[in-house]
Amino acid sequence: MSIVVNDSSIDTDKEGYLKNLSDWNEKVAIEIAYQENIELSDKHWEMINLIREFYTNFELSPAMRPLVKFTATKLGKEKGNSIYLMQLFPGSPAKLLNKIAGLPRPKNCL
Amino acid sequence: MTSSKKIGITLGHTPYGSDLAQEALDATLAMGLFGQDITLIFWGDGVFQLLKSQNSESVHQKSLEKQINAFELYDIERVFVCAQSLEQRNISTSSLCTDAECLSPTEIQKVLSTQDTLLSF
Amino acid sequence: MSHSILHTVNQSPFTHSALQQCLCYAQESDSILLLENGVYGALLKHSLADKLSGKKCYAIEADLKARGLLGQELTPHIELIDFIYFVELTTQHKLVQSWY
Repeated sequence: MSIVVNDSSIDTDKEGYLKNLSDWNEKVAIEIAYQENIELSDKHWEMINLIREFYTNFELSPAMRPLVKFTATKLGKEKGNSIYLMQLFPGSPAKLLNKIAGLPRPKNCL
Repeated sequence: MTSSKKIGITLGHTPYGSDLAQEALDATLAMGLFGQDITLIFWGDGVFQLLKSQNSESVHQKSLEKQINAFELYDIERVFVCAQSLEQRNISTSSLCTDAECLSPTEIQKVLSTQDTLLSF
Repeated sequence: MSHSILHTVNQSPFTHSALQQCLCYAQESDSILLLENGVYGALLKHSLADKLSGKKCYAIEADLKARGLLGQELTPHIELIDFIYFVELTTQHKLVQSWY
């Protein structure tokens, strides 16, 4: 599997997660989000940057609960809750956000 | 909600030399996500997993230290370390990356006996 | 079911500290089972053997037999058992801690 950004092909697994974390850039994020029917706004980017910070700090792709907790710590309670994240990334916020941010699929995430 | 079992995870092996430490951590975080009541006990060479300033990029592995720092976000709150094991290895608590509670072997026996199940890593 | 712990040890005490560590954390009421290379622990004399004798201690007979140890002088107080009894022991104890 792969996605095409700027005429170059980028490898993904069968669920659409990047195989190589280093392939990620903003254009890749926009393309993955587009395939998930999400148009990225500033609010989305804020979360993308935050989850990448999580990964840099802990070397973990967060599942929902740690993601919510971390968001609450960093951005406050209005954003650190599952309703807010569901609005931005409908369905399965943690999985979608990891995917768009170019991170591995979270383990143990339903 | 069913009441959760008390699960004791014992960690007795060095980090990086085998997959055991990483597997223990994977199991811990997974069970943490599912709201299990988890107690971690680092003893023997397992205390080396808690050392600060790990730089595992040099052996192309994920940093256990960084993952351990995420415990709070995964609701892992009870972390114990064997004081005797630390002393035998000449490690002071100030060298540890997390504020685990130091217990004597006798106190560890008590903690073990209150668990409903043990997973030995 | 007893509230004690069954400690299993599968490494030789002559190369590995598993048995020594086990004895550091095992309570008087706990049981110790030697299996695989752990059965070399049944040859022990002196200090570790003394510690073993204070607790209920078992060894898998098939593992001793395979290693030619049945003809050797074994630490007293060690009960030789088969695999079926091993399973029974795990059910008789509240917890199992593996030392390896």
